[in-house]
Amino acid sequence: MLGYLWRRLRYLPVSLLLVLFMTFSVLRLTGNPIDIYLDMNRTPEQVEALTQKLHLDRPLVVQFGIYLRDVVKGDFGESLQFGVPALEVVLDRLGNTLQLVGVALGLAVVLGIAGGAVAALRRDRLADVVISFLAVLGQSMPSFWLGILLIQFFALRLGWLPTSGQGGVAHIVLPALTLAAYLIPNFILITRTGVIETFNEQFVLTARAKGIPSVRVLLVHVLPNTLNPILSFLGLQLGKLIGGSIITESIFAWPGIGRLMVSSIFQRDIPVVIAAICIMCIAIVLANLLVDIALSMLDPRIREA
Amino acid sequence: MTTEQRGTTDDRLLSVRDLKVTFLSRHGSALAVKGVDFDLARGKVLAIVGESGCGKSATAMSLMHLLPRRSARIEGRMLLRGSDIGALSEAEMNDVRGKHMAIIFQEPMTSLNPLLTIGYQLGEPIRYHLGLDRAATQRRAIELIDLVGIPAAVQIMRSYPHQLSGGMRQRVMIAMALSCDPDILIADEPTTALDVTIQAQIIELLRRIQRRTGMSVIIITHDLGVVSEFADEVIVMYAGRVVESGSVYEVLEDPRHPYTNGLLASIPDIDDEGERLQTIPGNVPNPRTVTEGCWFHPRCVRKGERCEREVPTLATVEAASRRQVACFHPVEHNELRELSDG
Repeated sequence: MLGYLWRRLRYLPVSLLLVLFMTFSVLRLTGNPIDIYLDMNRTPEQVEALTQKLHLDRPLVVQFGIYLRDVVKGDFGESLQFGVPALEVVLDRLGNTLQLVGVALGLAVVLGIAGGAVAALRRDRLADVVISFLAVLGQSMPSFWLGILLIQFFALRLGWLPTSGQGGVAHIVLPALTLAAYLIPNFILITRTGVIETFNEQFVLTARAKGIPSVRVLLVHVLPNTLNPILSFLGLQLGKLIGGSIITESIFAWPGIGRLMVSSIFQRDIPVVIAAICIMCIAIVLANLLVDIALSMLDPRIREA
Repeated sequence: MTTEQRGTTDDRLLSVRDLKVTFLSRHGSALAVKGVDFDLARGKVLAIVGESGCGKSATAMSLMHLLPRRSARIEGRMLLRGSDIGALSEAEMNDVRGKHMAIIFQEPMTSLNPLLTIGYQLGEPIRYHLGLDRAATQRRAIELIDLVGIPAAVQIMRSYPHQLSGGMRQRVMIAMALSCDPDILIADEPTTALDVTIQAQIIELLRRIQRRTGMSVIIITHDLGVVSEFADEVIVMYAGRVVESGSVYEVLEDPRHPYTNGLLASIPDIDDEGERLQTIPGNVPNPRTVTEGCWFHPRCVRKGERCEREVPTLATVEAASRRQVACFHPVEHNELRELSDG
């Protein structure tokens, strides 16, 4: 297990270095930083001072080195809107995004796996037809559209839930559901196929032949053997989930990193955008590591590989 | 059909009467088992013999209610100690499966859950049926691993299936089947997927355990060597019907049905060097097709005109013994086991 973890962790610094290289390149490719930071009425003295400060007079490689050093120290520069370190602004919102993504993920896992299992057990019956239809429908529905529909129905017409913002438990329901909608349809379809396939496995017959109750057969023998494709899919979709959080946070005015990023782009607050991208990338890399760890905890054959 | 003798001295543990298994599919239905009767006595070993596709596995699986409900229909009576288990619901059947009747399968490589330790899987029926606590379950599991002759039981308990060989996994399957001291063990071709040297070990192990525990065994096989070594009684199945039954000695020494005769003749004899191997011409008929008369007649060397019109029923051939044959032209006593050259 430790060996497996070590082999996985070896790639972490490489992934992070690549992320930083990309953000640095994007930063330099989007134009002269002077034009971004200073307005039309700048003086040559201001330009000179900023050039010094941002080390723009040094070779690119050296600039990258300085950039790396600063990032490692947690220094992404000062936010242009707020006048405080960019990283601080981003980390302030990180909790909100993690909360939203966490609840959405929980919803997706529970609803997706339960829905898929029910569909598989009631294969070709009404429940399966309804669930499978909804899953395919959900798969084809863009989340911003779903979000607007949910607001229209549950917040405006029924008045059960708030339309936007952050507050109690009620505030997180609609955004979490919208974000979870990225994953639920696929979770349902993958689980359904997995459960149907696993039920044909010989070891399920063995479990039934032991005379243990069917609920136990499902929970102990069938479902764990369908988790591998679900977790692998989740690992692949984490980026999409983070991307989805940007849209979802914007629709529901949820004060997370995604919404901060969008507003910072409009404000041309580059340090905050870069810090947000870096944090998101680190989150994706770490979450993938967690998926790998979960997979290896689930399957002894992966642990040994 | 016999009437049930309850309260009398009846050593019949299991009586199967007119068992029919129909497989339903989109392409229509196929009658795989066409009315099978047999009795299993306490402490006896019954072998069910036949070619692939003759319905022997379907018979075994239907006894355990392990055929998929959506695609298999089972009719007939299965009386375990006089009560019909054929009518039990899935939940009621769970008290029978693993506890009174256990089964081991042909394919040990895929019969164990890859994600769980041997100890966990072995402990499952013990905890569930016997209600033992963790420590007692562990002790019982280790005892069982010792019983089936696997060394280093404690270490095996912590192992996963992929770390064991096929023979070891089959031993684990046997241990699992034995965990609650079942009255009946069904072994569905337990050695077919194993190496020849391991096959002998597994049969020897089954025989030793059967002698020690006195349980009844139904062994399904196409290996007549296994039958002669292990079984007391044998039934020969062809195309979903029993064509011959009796004690192993009678049936193997003096086969009366032409099919049994053919099966025995196709065992290579080491003395007949250079001689062509005997086979039964043709194949087992597809259960979807309908054959007029005796199902074996297209492959039979003894067929007469009547065989093409009527289905022979299983009938006692000798008053003194219980052996039965379903044939209009049974092989005569001590007639040479021979097939035409056609």
